Amino acid sequence: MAKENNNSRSTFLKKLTMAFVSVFGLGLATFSFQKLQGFIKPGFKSLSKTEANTHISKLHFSEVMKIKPESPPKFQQTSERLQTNEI
Amino acid sequence: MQKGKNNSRRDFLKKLSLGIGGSAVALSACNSPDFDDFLQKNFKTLSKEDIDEIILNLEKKYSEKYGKKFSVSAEPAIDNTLFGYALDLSRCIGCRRCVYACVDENNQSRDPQIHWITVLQMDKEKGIDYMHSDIHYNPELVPEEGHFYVPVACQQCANPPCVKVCPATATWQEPDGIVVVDYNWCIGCRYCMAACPYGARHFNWSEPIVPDEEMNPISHYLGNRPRPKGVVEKCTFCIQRVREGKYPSCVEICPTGSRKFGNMLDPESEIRYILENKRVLVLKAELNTQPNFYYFFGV
Repeated sequence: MAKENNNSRSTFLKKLTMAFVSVFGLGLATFSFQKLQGFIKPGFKSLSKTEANTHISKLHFSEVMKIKPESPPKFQQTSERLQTNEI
Repeated sequence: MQKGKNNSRRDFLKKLSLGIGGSAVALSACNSPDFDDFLQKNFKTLSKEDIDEIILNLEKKYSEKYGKKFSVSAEPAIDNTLFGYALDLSRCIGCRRCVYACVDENNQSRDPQIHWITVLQMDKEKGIDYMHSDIHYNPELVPEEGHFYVPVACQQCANPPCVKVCPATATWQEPDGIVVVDYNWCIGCRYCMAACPYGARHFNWSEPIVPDEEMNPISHYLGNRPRPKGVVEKCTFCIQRVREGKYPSCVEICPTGSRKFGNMLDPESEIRYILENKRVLVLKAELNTQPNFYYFFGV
């Protein structure tokens, strides 16, 4: 009788829910910890890309700063990993 | 009948002697220095005596090969040091002096070209946009109107994806934050290149070509020593220089002083001043690679 109770549908659903909560909880905890590390480590004031773009739009280079550049690379393209906006 | 002949005692002895002869030839080849290189342990696990012996052999080998006295350092990380780099985007004019200073200092292949630093030209209107960036810009004078420049090299991430994917543990992060490669252990699988979101790793598809007279003889085992074909290489913040208390060559050459470098753990350092007083940008921050390479606007 006791054995039947243990194998009942409600017990199964309870265990399944607990399993889901544990797995997702662990995932969330790991994610938050990793996110947190990014903030804890430097402790510096960060600049978002949007804010950086605002700075960039106001950039001004003086004429006296102009010089001849070194030659461009001969290889056709740099890593696709760099020249992509996608993650 | 035919089968029985093949299995005769004479055949067996013939094959045995051939086998022994072959093994003897193979074993005699094992005494060559190349085979020692092949059997060498991972640099991290080597004892001080092993390292000294390897360094001595390398110095001898390179000195003979390049016809000049070669030094290979194995200087470990300095205590209480975490190197950081900051680049002032408001000063960088995209002149590429840093690219070629890096090539000269770090013995990068001239043909085919390998550049550890890539300078991206971007439109001011579009802002930071990797997709529409140009690395082949070649005007008479820089900076060009309407453009700005973002030099990119290894970001020496605190959470480096390249290290995580290496199946041979041939790449790791040193205590001073520099991500290094043991060229003797790199198997050339290029997983790290696929994992690096900054395109900072470069593969030697062929034997790197550096003219003997241009070879920099002051090298570090984990840095600018000559690389063989089939291994991956990357910026090491000029490990052979910074562990001797010097600046990386790109910092020294920059005509506008847009590159700043130092020990982030030293409260008196320039890099620390920038990080405490300026707002800094890291590339592809959403990937949580936690770069030790920061971009800022000085003006």
